[in-house]
Amino acid sequence: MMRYHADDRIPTLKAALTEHMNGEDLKRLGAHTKQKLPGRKAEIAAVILDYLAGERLQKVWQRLDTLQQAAVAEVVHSASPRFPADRFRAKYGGDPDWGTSDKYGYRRNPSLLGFFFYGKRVMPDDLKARLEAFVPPPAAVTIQTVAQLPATCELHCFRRSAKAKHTQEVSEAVPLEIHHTETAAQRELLAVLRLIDAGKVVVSDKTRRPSAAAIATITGVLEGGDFYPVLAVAKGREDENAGPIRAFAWPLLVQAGGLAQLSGTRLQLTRAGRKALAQPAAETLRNLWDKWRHTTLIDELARIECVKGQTGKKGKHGLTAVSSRRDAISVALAESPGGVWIATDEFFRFLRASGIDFSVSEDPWHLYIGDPHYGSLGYAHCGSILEERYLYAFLLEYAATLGIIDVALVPPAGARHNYHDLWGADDLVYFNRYDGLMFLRVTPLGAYCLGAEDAYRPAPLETRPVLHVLPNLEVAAIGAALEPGDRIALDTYATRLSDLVWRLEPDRLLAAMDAGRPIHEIREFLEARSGAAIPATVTRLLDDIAERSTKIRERGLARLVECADAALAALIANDSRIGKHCLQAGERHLVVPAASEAAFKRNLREAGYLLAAGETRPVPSGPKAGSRKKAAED
Amino acid sequence: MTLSAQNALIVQSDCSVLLETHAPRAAAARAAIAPFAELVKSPEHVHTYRLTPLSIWNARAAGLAGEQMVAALREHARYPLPEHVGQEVLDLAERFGRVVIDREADFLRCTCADEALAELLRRDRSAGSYLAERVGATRFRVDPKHRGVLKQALVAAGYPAEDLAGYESGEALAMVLRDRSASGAPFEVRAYQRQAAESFFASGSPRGGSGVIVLPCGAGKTIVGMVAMEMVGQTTLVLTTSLTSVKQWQRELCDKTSLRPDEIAQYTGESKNTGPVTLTTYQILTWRGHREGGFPHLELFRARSWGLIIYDEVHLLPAPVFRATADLQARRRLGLTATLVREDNREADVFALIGPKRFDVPWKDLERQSWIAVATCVEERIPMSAKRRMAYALADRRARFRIAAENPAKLTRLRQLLRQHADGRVLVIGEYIAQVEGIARDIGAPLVTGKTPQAEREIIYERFRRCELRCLVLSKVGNFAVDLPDADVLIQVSGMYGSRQEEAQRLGRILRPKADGRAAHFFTLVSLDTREEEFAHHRKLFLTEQGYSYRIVMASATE
Repeated sequence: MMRYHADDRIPTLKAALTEHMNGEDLKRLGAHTKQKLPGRKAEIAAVILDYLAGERLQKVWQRLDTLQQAAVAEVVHSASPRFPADRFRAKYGGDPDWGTSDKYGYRRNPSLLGFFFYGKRVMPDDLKARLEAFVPPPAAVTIQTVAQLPATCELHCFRRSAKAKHTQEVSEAVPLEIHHTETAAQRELLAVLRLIDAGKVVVSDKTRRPSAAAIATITGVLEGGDFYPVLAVAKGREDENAGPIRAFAWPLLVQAGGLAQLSGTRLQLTRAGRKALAQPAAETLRNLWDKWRHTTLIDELARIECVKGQTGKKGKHGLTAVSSRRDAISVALAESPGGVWIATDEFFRFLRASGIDFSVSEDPWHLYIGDPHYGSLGYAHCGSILEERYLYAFLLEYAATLGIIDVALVPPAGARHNYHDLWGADDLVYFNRYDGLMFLRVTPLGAYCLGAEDAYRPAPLETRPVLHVLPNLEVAAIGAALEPGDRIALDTYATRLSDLVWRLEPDRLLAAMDAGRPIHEIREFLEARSGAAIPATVTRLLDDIAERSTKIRERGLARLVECADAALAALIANDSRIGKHCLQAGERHLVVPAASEAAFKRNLREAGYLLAAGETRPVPSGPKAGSRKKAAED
Repeated sequence: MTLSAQNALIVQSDCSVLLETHAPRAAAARAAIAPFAELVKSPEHVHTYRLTPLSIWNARAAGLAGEQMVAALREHARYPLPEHVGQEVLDLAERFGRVVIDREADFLRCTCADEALAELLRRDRSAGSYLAERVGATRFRVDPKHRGVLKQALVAAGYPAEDLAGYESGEALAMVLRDRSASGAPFEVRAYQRQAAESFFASGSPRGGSGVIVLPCGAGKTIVGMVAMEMVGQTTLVLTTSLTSVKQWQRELCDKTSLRPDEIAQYTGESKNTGPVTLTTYQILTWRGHREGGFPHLELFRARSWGLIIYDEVHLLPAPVFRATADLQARRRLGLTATLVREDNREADVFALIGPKRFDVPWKDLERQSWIAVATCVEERIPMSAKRRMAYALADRRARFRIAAENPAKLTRLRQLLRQHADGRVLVIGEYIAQVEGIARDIGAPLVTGKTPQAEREIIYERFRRCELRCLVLSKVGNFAVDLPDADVLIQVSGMYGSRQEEAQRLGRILRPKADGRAAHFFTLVSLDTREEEFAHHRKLFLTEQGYSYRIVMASATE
């Protein structure tokens, strides 16, 4: 009788042969010994034991093919005795030859690999120990990188022809859009913090998600807008817009990172958030990444709206801890080579092959598309679609937003097809908005945030002479075609004069600096893209701007206080205790820095005054106080 | 998009054309488009040309067909020519010459290419009023006195006329250029000067005889005028900008031509004589007794039967002279200028009334051939004292500019520059009289302002020419036609820095090639962190766009 082992371990080969196999299976396996087999099960087991005894085991192992040897090696050199079928498939691209069986799994004819695995493809402990002596370790998992990104991707989708009144498959080569996120994230972080400081970010007090207005406001400060611009929906066509991604993510990221908190329905900066405005953005982004991995503010799966049942009791309980999923992806990113493009599918394969896999739900039967019964995602043919789409969501919405990875995108509609055979997916223009994530590349900032590098060293700007910087402050793009990123940068720094000519102008440069682009970055960009030293007139302009930009500094918010008369204002401003918490502005006004507000109020009370709301009552300009008193006495 | 990397031109959709000067075929491309594209700016590396109606009509007037222009663009374009640009060039080019003005006995005849155009122009509110009797489906008679205004109206309507009505002959003038000047120095007309005059004269055919020659300051526009006078060989009226310029023309004519002094008359505030060659100023021609009165001196245009009228510095031509010129279309007209840019944007009037551009040559080309001096432009930023900075901060916006302009620290730097250029011939130019008076007193140099009597000015200029004076301080009278060929250092301490004309003119003062080949230096002193810097920004753009090297240095770095 078979016994169930809690840990699936089988202590000995003898136990495996006698307790985990029936007589029929033993006979078929024993046939590989080419010996005349006895009739009883115990005797057949003895023949097999003898066949594998001593150095004969190595000879049997040598008769295995390469993939079978790899299967043995994977288990021999791992902690678990169980064969990792999914990981093996991801690593080697297929299964080893286990032999044959009928469609129900019976009438098994095991291959030689049957001598090494028993029951649920578990290797006996004693056998594993013996094999360790001569089985070499398996090859390490490698990740395939892409030397040169393709210019376009072929997209297939189904469109309904209004004229022909039927749906037809169309395919088109869509340009791959590259988003360099590293420096953009640093600027966007500061821009979003400034928006929050200005009280312009409204979020839901229940879900903490940004409102539609907040998303529009944030989109306005994102470099080049969100990943996918909103396109008008043509008449008779389905809405294929992806919707907000970075604009959605930023408010959640800063909340999770403790940089902003809810005040009513608006976000306001915390002390840490205010501090972040003045410190290097790379440090803040690293903290945000660390904190995001453990936040419970949102489960990224919730952004995959077509997957229903997430909030239902059973579905919700079945979901795995979201931090474990993020950790797995984070580890895989850290192990990926930096600075090179990797296809997203390949990254998913790597994640599975390297054993740092994750699952989204322990019980996917309660998650579904369209209909809870027919559309359940627990069916075998659903495969790992949940994990795959969760990965894309996490990578594009959070990792890319934080500048951890650069991404290359195509529009999501038509980008992927592995969901078309799912029940209820017919009406979906895409499975989710992240389907267009085709390639990713770990940035130097990513390497730092992931712990792969000790310090953040920004990637040097690629020298690509596509511009001429002219002494009359014009920039002519008359070399090779400009990349979208270069065009965005030029539009930010300079005013466009014609198709290929921009002019550097002081107000534009100041606006760029105000948007978080330091002047050295502008200089580096111009040098790298012109491939030469920039003319002296341009250098002088940049120096002037840099100098002027440091002459006036923001020192935080302050409160304006109005006194009833000039004398009172002077009295308070010159008071030894209150005076150090305020500055006199004009005759009757005082300015109190936000940081000193509490101390100012306290000392003001101690001096016998109160900071009242509303307008002050000016002292009448008639007879002086003394003369009024005298008049009263009279 | 196909890419012909060897080609130098990039034609943009807004009809501007970029020319990469380092491209292998840049020189050929420049030569190919120069006749029909207007050079807008020529900084290092990339020059910008613009295809405008006037530039295309100028080319058509010179005999270039629209198809040739488009072919030149296609041949030298790096990327495919935007279709609409090619079409626009063809359309514009095709418009020139669809209306022809020629002579028929005592009348002029205006002939349109087709009946539709004739109808269109007849109904045009402006042009239609100058078209008299209709003498055919496509022909009109035109009163000769309306020849100029009709041409203006036709340009405004977008159908510039080809004027083949010819010219009236003036009285003959026997004049030849000398091989050796009166002062004894050898004299030879430079090739480009003769070429310019020939392109104007067009062998005496009706297709020539009116037009504008564009040459940089110091390139010898006066010489071109004299060559044109020799070719025409008829009495000539020369209009200039100032009395100083009149004197300069007289000096040059006496020195380099066979004209006797008594054949050259001056019609100025000092003396109102006319002669076979008469020199006058725009100021005297546009003088009038009171605001509503007429311009009595414009009668000078009719005082003699002029065979040629020369408009010096044609970009400064005042409106009344334009009006008078409209009536003088039967005379040969030559405009001379360093720039076609007019601050009042009346380039189309110059085209219609004086004539199309006949010749131009970029400043840098002449500099390379050493026909004009190599110039370096330096902007020096001078800090103001704390007290003056406060005064500047508290002043209203108009007063600020003057406070910055009269920064006393500029004087300190000026003295340093004078020491650094102890061997140079220095001109100091300023906008404000009080400032230049102070400077002249401080450095002990003579001062010339608008109030300085003409005789005294001439004496000072002559002393400078004879090297008796090393330095001269000028108010803005020094902007135009001060003929001081040996000046090689110009220091401007204040000015209307936003004006592109003023920059070109002031720089032109020092561009005459020096006998010893030394470079010219153009210094501008501006007060640090003031509105002067903003104005200097425009000047910087203009000068760099002309291809001059331009440096900005902080005063502390220079001390």
